[in-house]
Amino acid sequence: MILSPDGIVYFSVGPLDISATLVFTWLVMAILVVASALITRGLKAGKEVTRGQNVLEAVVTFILDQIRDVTEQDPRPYLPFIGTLFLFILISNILSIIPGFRAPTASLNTTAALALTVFLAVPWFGIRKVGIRAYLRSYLQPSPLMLPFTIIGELSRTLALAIRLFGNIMSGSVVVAILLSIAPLLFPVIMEAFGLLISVIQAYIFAILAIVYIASGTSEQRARLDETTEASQGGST
Amino acid sequence: MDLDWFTLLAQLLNFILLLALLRIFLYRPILNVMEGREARIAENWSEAERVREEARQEAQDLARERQRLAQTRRDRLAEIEREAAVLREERLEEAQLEADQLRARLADAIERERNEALELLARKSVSLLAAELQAALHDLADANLQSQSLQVFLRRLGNLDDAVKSRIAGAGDPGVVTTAFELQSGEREELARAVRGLTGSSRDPRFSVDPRLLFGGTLTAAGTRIGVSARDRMQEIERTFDRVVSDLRRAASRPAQTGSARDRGAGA
Repeated sequence: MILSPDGIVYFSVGPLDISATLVFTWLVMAILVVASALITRGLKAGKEVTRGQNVLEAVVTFILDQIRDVTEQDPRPYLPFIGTLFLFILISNILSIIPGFRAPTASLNTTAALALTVFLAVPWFGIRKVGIRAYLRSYLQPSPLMLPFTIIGELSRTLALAIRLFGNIMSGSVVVAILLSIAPLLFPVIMEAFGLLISVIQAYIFAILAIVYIASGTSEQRARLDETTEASQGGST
Repeated sequence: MDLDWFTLLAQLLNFILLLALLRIFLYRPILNVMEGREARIAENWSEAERVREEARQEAQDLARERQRLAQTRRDRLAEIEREAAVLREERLEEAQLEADQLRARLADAIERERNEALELLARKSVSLLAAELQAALHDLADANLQSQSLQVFLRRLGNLDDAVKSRIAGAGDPGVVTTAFELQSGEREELARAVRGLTGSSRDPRFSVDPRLLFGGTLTAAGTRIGVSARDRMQEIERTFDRVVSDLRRAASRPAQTGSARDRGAGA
């Protein structure tokens, strides 16, 4: 039994194997891009809007509110990154109920890549927000002795992000496969429904954790901490 | 579950590509639309606020205008009441003045009528008295009374002023001697002689008889009438009585006029 889509190779381009992970990722990407293009094509700025636009605005507003609640900042700069993470994971997970569809998030390569993007986004947004010196100085706070632990913390949380999403999605597939072999009629249906809930929750958790990590690198608290440190250093000298 | 670096890198690139595509096809349009709608809603909201503020301002202006009109109405009513009071006072004063004037005119008319009645009564009384007296003297007159009155007439002629004498003498006309009875020859001669002595003329005066003299005689010469007769006395009494009545009338009307003037002065 093949549990990860990485094990399914559809074709190879030279030495590179094109697995189901990549194929279904492209499928999800195509669905998201085409759906976005179709939905936003008919957007209206007037008083009366379509039902689809209402739903889309409600989703975007929900994401913006979540980002604003966590970061206490203007959420619009973070919307594309967080929204893309959420939508990609959500659509990938939800489509897994379709027979034959292999969720890309069930691949450790996919979750690791997503976690890697978060790992890179944290310093990207942090430097853009507080500047490179203040951001790098935050690794030395409250003491330079904390630098190794901070780096380990950043790596471990990135790893945790990848493993958490991979483990939850893959475990769901494993449980369904096991139940399917034991009781092929009732339990798989229940577990698929339960898997839908898990899929939404995991997408939400991944996105929330990503914005929390980004917010920790861009928060005003960090900026204030830097200012306090500079002031104390200036006073001591 | 091993990591495939190609797949991992491909997924990383796929995610970045998806991020870029969704940024173009999803986030930018929807954010632009939402910002446009929010701006429009904010604009409508501010417009509604502006309209509400204008309405509130207009309501305040109307309230102030209403208060001003009410105050104007109160002031106008007070002014009208004052004008009405002044007008009423003026009308009352005019009515009072007219009443005083009417009362004064009525009093004057009554006083005048009373005086006229008194005067008429006095004149009638005097006329009646004179008539009765004349009738009584006519009944009592006789030759002796005539001859005695002629003697008095002759003494009057003899005692005339020099101015009268010279005026009569300058006229050249002996005049007319009038008596109440026909003269006897001696009496006529005595009177002619006295007149000739008075006028210095040789002609005798003309003689005539007028019973209305009752007794006595008169000489009319050079526009001057000299005589002693009961009629002259009666006429003298009437003139004296008239003068006395006129004096009394003026004396009676003077306090009334002074009182009316005092009333008019008090009314003004």
